[in-house]
Amino acid sequence: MAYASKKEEEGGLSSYYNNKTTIIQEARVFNESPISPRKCRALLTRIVYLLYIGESLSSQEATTLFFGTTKLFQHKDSALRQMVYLAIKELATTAEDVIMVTSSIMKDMQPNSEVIYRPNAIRALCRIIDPSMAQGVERFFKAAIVDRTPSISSAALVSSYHLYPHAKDVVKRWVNEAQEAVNAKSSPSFFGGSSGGYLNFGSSGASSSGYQPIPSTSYIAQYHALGLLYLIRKQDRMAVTKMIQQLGGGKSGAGTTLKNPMALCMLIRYAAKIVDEDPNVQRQILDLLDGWLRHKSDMVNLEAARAMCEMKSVPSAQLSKAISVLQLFLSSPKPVLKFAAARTLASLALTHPSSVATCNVDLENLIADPNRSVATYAITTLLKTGNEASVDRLMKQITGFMSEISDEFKVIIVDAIRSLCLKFPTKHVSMLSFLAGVLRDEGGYDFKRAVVEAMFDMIKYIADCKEQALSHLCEFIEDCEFTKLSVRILHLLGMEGPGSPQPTKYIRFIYNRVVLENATVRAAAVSSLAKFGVNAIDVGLRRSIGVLLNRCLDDVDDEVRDRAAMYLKVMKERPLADVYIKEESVFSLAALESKLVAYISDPVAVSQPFDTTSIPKVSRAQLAAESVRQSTLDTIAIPVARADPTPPPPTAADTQSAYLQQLAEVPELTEYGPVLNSSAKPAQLTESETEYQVTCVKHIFKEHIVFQFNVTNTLPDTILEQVSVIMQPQADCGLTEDFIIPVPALTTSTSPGIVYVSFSRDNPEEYATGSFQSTLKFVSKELDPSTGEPEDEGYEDEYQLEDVELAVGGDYIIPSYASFSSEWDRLRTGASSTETFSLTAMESIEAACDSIIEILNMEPLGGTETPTSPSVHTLQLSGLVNGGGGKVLVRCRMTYTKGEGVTLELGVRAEQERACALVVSAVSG
Amino acid sequence: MNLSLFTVSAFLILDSEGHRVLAKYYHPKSHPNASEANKHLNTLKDQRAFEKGLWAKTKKPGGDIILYDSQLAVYRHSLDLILYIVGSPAENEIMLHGALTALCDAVHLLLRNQVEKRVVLENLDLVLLCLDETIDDGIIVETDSTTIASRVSRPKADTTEIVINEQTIMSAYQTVRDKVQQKIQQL
Repeated sequence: MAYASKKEEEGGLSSYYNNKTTIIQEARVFNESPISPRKCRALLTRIVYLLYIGESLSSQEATTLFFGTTKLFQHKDSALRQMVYLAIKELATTAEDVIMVTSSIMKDMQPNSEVIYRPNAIRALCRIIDPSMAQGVERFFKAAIVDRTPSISSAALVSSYHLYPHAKDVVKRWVNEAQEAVNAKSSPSFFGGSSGGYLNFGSSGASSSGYQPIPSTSYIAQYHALGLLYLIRKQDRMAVTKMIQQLGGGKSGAGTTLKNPMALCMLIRYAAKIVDEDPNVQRQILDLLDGWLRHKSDMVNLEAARAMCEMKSVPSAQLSKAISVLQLFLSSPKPVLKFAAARTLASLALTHPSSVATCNVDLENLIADPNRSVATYAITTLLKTGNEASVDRLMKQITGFMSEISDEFKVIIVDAIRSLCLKFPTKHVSMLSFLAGVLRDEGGYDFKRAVVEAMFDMIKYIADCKEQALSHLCEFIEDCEFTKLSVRILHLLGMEGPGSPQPTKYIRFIYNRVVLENATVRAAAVSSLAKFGVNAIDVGLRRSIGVLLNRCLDDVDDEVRDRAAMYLKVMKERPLADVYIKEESVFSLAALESKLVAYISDPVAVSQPFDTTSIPKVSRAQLAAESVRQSTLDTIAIPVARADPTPPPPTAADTQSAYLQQLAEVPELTEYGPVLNSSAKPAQLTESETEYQVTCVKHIFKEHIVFQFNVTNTLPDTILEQVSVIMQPQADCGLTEDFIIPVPALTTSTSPGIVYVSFSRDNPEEYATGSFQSTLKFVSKELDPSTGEPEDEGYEDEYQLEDVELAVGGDYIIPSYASFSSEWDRLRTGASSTETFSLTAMESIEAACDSIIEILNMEPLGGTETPTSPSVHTLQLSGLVNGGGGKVLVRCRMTYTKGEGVTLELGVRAEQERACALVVSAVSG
Repeated sequence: MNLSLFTVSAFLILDSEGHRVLAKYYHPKSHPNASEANKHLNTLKDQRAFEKGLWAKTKKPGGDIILYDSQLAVYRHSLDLILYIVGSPAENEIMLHGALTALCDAVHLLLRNQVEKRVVLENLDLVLLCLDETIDDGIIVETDSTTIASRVSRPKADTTEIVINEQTIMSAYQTVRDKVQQKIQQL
């Protein structure tokens, strides 16, 4: 309790920090006679405070204290009674049997009691009352809601608001009173200034008998009444629309009876919701919003402007009005206004950068704003809206204050600049010098990584700055404390360096690493050197690299020695170099990972070496495309009014491993062994707007095929029971149905449910294909709207789905990268077949290419998927046949003559005969 | 978009070290999506971590508003204390700020412009009632600071003696000085 003891040193305050045991003991003071109001109030304060600094009471302790406080209802002191109500409110959540004090509280709610604590009593009542008793208090509430005193009316409305979810039917009947409170026209007499209040309140508070409330000038009861009205009517869109029209005050919004700005804000939100659901009323609502943009309260202006900015398809004339309101806020001296405006504009800039551009001058002034959030929003907005001409000026301004800000803020800016470089490649000179400058500054790993990655992107996409950027990076690794970054930069130098005009200048930097750095960096440097040794054009240079690598053979670290030795050997033998250094394809990392995981978890497989042939390969270009990072600029600083930004679509490998997890949860399928292939994306079996939506994913096992049907029920008040899918194979297809795993019950909230249908492959050596007539079968039951329970009676129903196809491409063959000419030569001795087809229906070579790629689902190589000549073309394809079928290559030679269509000579070479036959059957089928 | 009246998710007073002087987190049971809204900042540990981080970002005066840990917080410095109102990030900033201003002004009225840690702790009853009159379980009840202050009752002293000592005279002097200063500035 160091925290508490420290506080006690401050003296005189210790009484507030004693623990709850003391307080519970001291609760005796409630039973004393006569009651001492001062002492009791002090103790009540301490009880409430105990809860506010994070202590929690057990249910029994709370109950004891709660009933202790109820004794104080005997005393008339208003200062005490007000505190009693606060304590009751705070204790009611944990104490038991709180309902017992209802009658005491009701006594204080009587309309004739002119006491300061009457609103407190009303607000406390909703905490202790049982919903079934709501009927009993109805009379009081109806009277209180329309009471002339705003505080009583507000308290009653707030209390009803809390009560509504528990006693809907009763509270609904108070709608007329709430309506009256919204329209309250009688303006409370204006109270003269706050200084008068300051002098008055002491006397008014102290004398309980002559309590004279200071009337509120805020009309806040309208806000509460409107909230309650909406809560009651929110299911009824017509009623809400009518309410907006009534309270909106005509076209300009001037005639409204709502005087409270918060109430108007709520009205704006309801209006925006209506437009979202029913775009037909947009024009009408926009007129109202337009009027509210000119309201005298900033709060209402902001809410209206934001509603317009977030609305879909707002005419640009209207939008520019909203933007100009926000623009005014930007130059306000109040940080809150600047923040609100900058935040709204930053999110608007994502969708309408050109409209926001009008605020650029004001935003630039905010870059140096003392409130960093405002500055961040300003910069990110500017970087999105900025045009080419303003970039230089912007960069200069940013450079000015880079040193003053924290690392995480710098990362945001560097990311923003990165996407700006890619947008305006011609500005790369100033941006690169900026990045080089900040790279020299002090900074943590995350910041440096952001800068280095920004430079990587520039090297990749902007050819002009490659050399400059590389030399900046070389300088950076001379004095880089982060091993990870050094390794990445060395790898990049190895990739990019040998092709540059002066490869020698990088060698010095790389070899310095070999001399000066730790083992990890040395190993990376050796690999990098080897790439120069193989890829450099200059023979002399290659010889020098050999000398350098020879020196590395004496390194103290074995990894470095091993690499050096290997590369020395590889450099001498050209074919090895082609495989190990020049190889353009890499394993698909996600597939490799999931196969390795499966390999390790399967005890049987461990006895054999890991088989890499079944893993698809991708070229480096594909890998880069896959791992392209989303620009952070688009994801930061979006006002969170929207839901979280949608996650990037999962890659094929991600979905595969997600399927694996789902399948692993089904006990019937565990003995099938590893999945050989799952469909890349689910096939839609229904129209997207039907009431039941079904998609299908096919999983191929060694001896089985499992169809996974994802069934979605979109009817909110219906439950589907015993959902299954009946599949009928069309012809003799070599498959036998094993079983169906139905979904026992499916509602909208549990959708999608998964139905599995399993088939055995009669002969696992054969590739069974065919199409299946499928029918969704279920028992449909209606849900009782009040209880949510399904009714007893249901009816059986069927729903015809589209046919499920089991085809060669996509189910048996998966794309895989290979270098075609060498592989084609290598497979000369393997299985091969050549067939000629006449495709009369094809209207061009291009169409033929597309359909062949689609049918076979193989990887087109070397850009052969886009024919250059309209009459003759050769398409090269590569793939893997799953289930150990091995590699398969296809060469399609095509000619096109008008009138006769496309003539196709299909050459197939594969590691196995059956793979060859499979491909031919797919095309002929 | 928040279509309910539940606007405020917490009211905090932190001291110059970032320690909690007073913290009230609102987890209203009748909130439309109660289960979801109440998950956040529900345990003392989470709350303390949140307060610590928030304090570190806001200890320098002059910002008034920040988006921290996906919560929108408006704050105001007062001598050795910082008063915060925390709300959902989609909330209208000016609305939250209005609530904070009303609450701060009312507390200033009640504590005679001496809103500092010692005075707050000595007059906790006033501060707690003042908070209750401004925010009821996340709903803003009143935004007129004079009304709020007038609705807070003061304890009646058991003895009616008026204590005159160095401290009360000093505070009287200070109040007068502040008032005069204000008037002069207005001229």
